Amino acid sequence: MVPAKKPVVGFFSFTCCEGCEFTVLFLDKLAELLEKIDVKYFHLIKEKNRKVNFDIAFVEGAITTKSEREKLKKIRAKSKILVSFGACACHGGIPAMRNFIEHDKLGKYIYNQQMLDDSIDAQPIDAFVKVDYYMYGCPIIKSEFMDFINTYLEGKMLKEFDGPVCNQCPRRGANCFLREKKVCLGAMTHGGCDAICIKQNIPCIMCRGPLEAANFAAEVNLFRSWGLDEKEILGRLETFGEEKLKKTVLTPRPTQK
Amino acid sequence: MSRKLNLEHIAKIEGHAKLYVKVSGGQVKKVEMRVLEGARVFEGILLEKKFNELSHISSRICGVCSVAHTISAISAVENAFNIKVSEQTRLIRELLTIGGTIQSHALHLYFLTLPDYVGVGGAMGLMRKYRTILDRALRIKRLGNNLVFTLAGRDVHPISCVVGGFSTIPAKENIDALLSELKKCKNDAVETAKLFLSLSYPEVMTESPHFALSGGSYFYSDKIVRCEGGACFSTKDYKDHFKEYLRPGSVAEFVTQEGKSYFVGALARVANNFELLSDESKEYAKKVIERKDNPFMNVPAQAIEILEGVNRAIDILSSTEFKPEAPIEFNVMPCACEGISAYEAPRGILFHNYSFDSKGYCTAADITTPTSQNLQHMEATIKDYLQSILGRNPDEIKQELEKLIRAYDPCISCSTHFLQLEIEEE
Repeated sequence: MVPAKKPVVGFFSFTCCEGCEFTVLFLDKLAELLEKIDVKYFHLIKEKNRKVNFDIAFVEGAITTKSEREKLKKIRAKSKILVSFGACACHGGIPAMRNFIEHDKLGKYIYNQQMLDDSIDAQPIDAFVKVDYYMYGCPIIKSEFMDFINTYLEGKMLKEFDGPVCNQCPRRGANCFLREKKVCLGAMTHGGCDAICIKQNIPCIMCRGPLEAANFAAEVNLFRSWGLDEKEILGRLETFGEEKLKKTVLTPRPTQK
Repeated sequence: MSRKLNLEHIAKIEGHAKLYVKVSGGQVKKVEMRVLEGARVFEGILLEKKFNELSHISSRICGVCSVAHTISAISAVENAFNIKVSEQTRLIRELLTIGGTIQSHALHLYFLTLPDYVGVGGAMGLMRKYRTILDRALRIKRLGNNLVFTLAGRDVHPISCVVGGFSTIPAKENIDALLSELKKCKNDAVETAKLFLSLSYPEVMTESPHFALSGGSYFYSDKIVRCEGGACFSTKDYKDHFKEYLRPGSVAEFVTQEGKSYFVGALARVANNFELLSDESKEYAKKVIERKDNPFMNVPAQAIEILEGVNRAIDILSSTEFKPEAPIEFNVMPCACEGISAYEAPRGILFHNYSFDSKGYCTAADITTPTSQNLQHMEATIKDYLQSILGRNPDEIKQELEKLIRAYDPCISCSTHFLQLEIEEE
């Protein structure tokens, strides 16, 4: 079934670097994309943005304030399909690193009292609303985004990639970074990125977030067995995996709601 | 009487801020930029992280400036641990800088700025009415992306740029493809410079010093902070000259030089480093320099930098043979030291300053962005400009102020979420 008219699409941004929206703007075939979809909300390229009913809402960024949380709920109510767009929306990403700073010390970095009062722990969007598709990555991958749009235009939903980064890794097996005692987080990370970092000789930093099925404890023990100190292990895991891993291998601390 | 013009999102700037204006007896008394956001506290989250992780995190300060923050973080680490990089590494970083600058300027000029001057609502409007221009914009944007992608593996948040150099060196066929794309885009770059010089910009004057980095090439200098017509000082002494301060009601930092405002960005670079430009760019740059105290000239200055970037990249790529270098093995010896880097980001001088313990964990982080340096200057110019247009209707005032703010190309994404214009009249 092909949708009769162009889907009405919105791009929304909460607390993040806006790199996922930029990735859309950096598409080679941006003009062709804009002819296929009806963009009603995208503050980087439109002056008049309308909060109408959306067929697809792409939501980037983590939720870090009460007012963001309320806005997010309104977007959900107006959208048929809501896509969690990039690492911050999917797992809290870099903004969620601040959850490791004790709340009473946050004031040292958030200078505005009003902001501080409104502030909550940085959360992925699915802490507050139902998500229909998780588009992982920091930033998202262009080809997955285009596949998502094109599949939608054919009347279907794209299937999320199943499995870790290792499934597409060229070093899988004898050349694995782990054999060289290099901290690669690929085995614990959502795949689908075509292992681009490893192809550049850079071990995975988990920018697509922790994979639910992974054996986090075993991997952390492996790093420990190499003599890595807890601070380094924690530092690497919390960069992109904070919210999920806090519940498993990382030491939890009281959250601020 | 208090009048509030609510600009929910000043559309088309990257990030959001609030402008507070106080008018009394027909005189503009006070102008204040207030930046509000769910802060991401970068200077807090970088603490306790290992030196080779900092660039991954700092890169995420801004999606469009990710090249700038990556190279800055890496350079600060290298300066702390006294790591010297190869000439090839410096050249590739310069090319990456050109790529990042073209990406950012192309977006700002064509998507955010041009629609104001031709009366269409953003890039979407451009597509409907000015398809030829939009297609040119997209070719230039793609060129910037391809430079960054080819050299660093990804066009947002570069991958292969690491402490000490690059984890991979691009293959010859990829370099050749870049060179051929650059040559094809040369004419687009010339047309861009001509187009943005031909627009009609309002007359606004703010006599403030222009600062830019000097002591290397046009796009990649890191040794000296130079003030056009004034003194130079070493980048490592920047805190003696540029002071950060906070204001109640804003999460952004403001920076001043001896209590006064100053300007950084494309216009400051063109004015300070005119001699380093190619002869072709100089011809266009002369027209900008004649009006260098007008911040609107930052717009054509960016267009000229696209042309200069294309020229310089063609020069480098056609005269350099890139050789594979031994992959970086992270065999860095950390020390309890401090490192400062200065870098010309698309929007102006960017400082990263980190301290480390003897194991290489970050113990202090301080990042000074170009936007925070320009905020004070922006306020002063808004005050003057608003005074001259105060008689116009509110919609027009709003539009004109937006144009002025956008000319600075502020990237408040590092700190914001709403923008409101609040005019209080007594």
